[in-house]
Amino acid sequence: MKCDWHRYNLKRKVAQLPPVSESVFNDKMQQMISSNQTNNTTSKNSSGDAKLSKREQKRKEKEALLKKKRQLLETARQNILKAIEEQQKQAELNNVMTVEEPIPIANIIKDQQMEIEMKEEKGEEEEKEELTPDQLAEKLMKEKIANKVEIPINVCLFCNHNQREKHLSTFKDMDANIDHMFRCHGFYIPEQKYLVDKEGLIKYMAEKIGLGNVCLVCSYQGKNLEAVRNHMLAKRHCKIPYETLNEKLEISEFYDFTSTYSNYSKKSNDKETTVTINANNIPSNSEGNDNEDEWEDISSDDEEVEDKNEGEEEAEEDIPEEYLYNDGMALHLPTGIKVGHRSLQRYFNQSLKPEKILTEGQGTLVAADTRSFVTGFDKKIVQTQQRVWQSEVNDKKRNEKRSAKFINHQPHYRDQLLQ
Amino acid sequence: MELAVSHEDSQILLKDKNVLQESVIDKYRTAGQISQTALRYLINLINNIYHYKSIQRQLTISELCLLTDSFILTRLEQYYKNKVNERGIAIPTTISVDQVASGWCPEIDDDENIKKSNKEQFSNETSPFNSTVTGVLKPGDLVKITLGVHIDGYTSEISHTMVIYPVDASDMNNVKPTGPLLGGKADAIAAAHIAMETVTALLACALTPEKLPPSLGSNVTGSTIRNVVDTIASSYNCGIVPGSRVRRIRRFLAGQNEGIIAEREYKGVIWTESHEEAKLLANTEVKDISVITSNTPRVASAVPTDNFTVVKGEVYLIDLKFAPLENLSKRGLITLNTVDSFTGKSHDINQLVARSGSYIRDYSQSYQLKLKTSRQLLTKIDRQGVYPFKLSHLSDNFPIDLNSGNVDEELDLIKKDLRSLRLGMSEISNNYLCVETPIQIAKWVPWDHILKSNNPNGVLSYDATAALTLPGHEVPLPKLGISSLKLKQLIKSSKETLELPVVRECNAVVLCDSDISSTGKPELLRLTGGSKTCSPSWIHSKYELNSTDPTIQGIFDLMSLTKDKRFGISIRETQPMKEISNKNKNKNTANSDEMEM
Repeated sequence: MKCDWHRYNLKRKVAQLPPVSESVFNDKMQQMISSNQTNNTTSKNSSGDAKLSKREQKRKEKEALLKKKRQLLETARQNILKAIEEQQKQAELNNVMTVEEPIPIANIIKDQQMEIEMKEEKGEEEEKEELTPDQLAEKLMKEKIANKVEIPINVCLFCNHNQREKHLSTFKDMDANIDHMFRCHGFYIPEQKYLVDKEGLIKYMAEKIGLGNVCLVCSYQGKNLEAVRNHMLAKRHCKIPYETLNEKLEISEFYDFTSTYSNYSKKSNDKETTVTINANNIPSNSEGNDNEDEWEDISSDDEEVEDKNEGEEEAEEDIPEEYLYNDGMALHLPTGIKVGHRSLQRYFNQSLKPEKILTEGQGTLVAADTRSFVTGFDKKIVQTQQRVWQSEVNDKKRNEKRSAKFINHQPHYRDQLLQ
Repeated sequence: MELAVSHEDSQILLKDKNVLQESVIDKYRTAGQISQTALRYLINLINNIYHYKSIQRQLTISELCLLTDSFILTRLEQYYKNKVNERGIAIPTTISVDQVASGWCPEIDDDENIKKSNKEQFSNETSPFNSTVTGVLKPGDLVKITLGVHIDGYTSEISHTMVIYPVDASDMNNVKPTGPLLGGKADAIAAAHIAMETVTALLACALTPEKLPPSLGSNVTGSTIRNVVDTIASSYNCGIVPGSRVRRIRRFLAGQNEGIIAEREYKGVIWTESHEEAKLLANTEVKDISVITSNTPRVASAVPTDNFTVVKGEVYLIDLKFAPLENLSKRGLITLNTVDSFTGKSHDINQLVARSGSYIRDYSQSYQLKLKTSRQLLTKIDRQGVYPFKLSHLSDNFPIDLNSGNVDEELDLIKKDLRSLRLGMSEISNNYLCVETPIQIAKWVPWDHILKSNNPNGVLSYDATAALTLPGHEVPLPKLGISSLKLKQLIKSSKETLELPVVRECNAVVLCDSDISSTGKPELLRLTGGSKTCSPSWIHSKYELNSTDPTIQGIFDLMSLTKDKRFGISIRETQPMKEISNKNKNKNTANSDEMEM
């Protein structure tokens, strides 16, 4: 206590850096002394390098810390999931048939988290004394929890403003809040049709921002809520990433895609239990559904809009096996609808010039016309023609050359004037 | 070609839609009635201006054309509204006077230009183009009125020649011409009228070939028609102007696109310079003539030949143009010369300079237009149809309300619209999306002048400005090896070249078999023309048909067959509509005033 080492660590703490052990501190001290001595002797130019290396060191340390934090979060999550799994397995064992309704996963997660928090609080005092890296990180976690800003569901995740009523910072309900976030920040919730726990999703996001101070999109780690909010607003990171598998899995707990493969489950009874009950299977199934959902309706030629909508619903209910054929660009469904892939969406969205439809009169003229217009040159014929010409030229040159050899074929010089 | 129609569709469009049915005949008949009515309207207008003098304002030719077009459209409004997709004017009304063979339908804003660029013709009263340039007709003019109507592509065209007579001004209550028309013009009118009636009767015989007089053969073929018309022309000392034709017409293919598209399965007799050449060479004993043929690949059925038989169920267009060969000591070639609008050239002072008023769209051409005006105009043109059109037809102020008092104001509005339309049209026609229908003048060149010249390049010389030649007839004189460019030059170079007045008669007839005709016997339905609307003018020709000739004997037999109601051939005429008010229009009245000839 109150030694240099302790003071150093306190300063580090202020700077949000992990404390160092005594031996490391002593090494550092000696380095400092030696470097001071060298600095006195050498020119001041070298000091820049040291500074730079220091900065780098700092950065590296920061990164290492971040990594640890992530790992911790990950392990916590794993624990939660494991716990859920076990619970469900037990439930499964108890009765297989009755469990049909989706389990409120979010609640379970919450409970688990609460337990963990409680545990952490209990062990707080003990950990203070032992300062191993793990425990340090846990301590940081605790700090975080202490700093935690609870964002209620009727407050915008990204700002404190209510656009309509300036004096209020809250909205009257969650939907108004979501609407605000969608309009002002572009916060779009994907696959709303299958979203079962909207509140949970928003709470999860709020926790991510309020507790973790982590950006929703990138790996930015803010010092506090204000920093992360500013980052997200500035970078326009106010959205839920829903592209890669991991991103989809992250929020898959709040979704229920079982409606999309109800037919499928009926057909294969043996899979039924796993599909409906096992929470671990949800991600994999949802992924399959995602693949199916990626097919978009291209066109149904002369059907009315209503028919189209019906067809679309059918198309979504249909499992992939029921399509007639897949030509690589589109699924051809038995209903006559063609379903294009999402990757080609930009082409379907293009509004191209409509194909010219001939009137009967124009059609008659075109049908009756026998004119043949000049066609472009055929490349092959032109090439052979050119080759023929070239060989002719070459032959001529060669023959000339040969004949030139025999122009002056006289053994002796004869003066023409003397003849 | 960019556009294409599937085989099944073309079968429907070219074959199935041309099968005569009740509905098809009804459309033909209605179109015929409207064109007959429009012709009568225009003839009445001209009579009122020049003969009865009941209309004080002298409407110019361009105004008369526009008024008649408006009349056609307002009449057409009452028929087949919302029942057919396409209906309208098949040929913009053209009024060609004397030497102008066809195509004279200037826009109303063009009158001043024409006067300016043709000062000589404008000032010289004796010039053959005086009435054409001034737009005011004179006594003694042959006025060729051509117009056409189509309903759903079923087309009826009509052409009639009327004569402006000097009238006796003393008695205004009983206006009479001071005398009949004499001379060459009278010969041509006589020949045209007789030829028209004969060919109509001949086509009617195609329904009952057993009634055909034996001197004309056993079947009505292309060569029979040519033989008859040639015989009549020669007995009245007339020449047949190139461009005359007796051809089958089909839905949307009524000859309006001739020369632009090479029509598949062309069936008809045409008269061109090459036929005159053949007639000349028939009398000579020259053997070693190498025939020049251009080697452009073409479909055989698109080349018109006389080698066909007229059969029932077809619709024919009889379009005959005659030019008198009076006071011509030598034999010569009658040809057509296209009028151009290039000013400032060192041209013959008597040459007519004018631009054509009507255009026709060439659908096989495509081009992305640069000007917005032209793009808009092209959309309008495409919507308008496949028939020739005038720019004033595309104006928003067209058709003119004929019953309103202020026709002049409406004409001024159209004049204003024309300016922007012309701007767009120049880009469209420069890129060949539309082709001008040519104004043609009948010229006579003595044969000796042509025979003295030589044209070593023959078919190789290509006339890019040659107007509307039919496939297989690109070279006007293939045996003598005179190309179209050379012929143009010959016309210019010869001092003996003359312009000839032209008489034109054009009718459309439907050959109805017994199962669709109203009387139950096979009959010929004459869509346009006939004694009611196209009555011949008062003329005296010094020629008459020589009854010893077997062909002419056959013609007389034919005419007596048409008179014989019981055993003869039946020809039914479509009559013009009565002046019905809009309130009690109904089709029954239109049907009831058809009568048998």
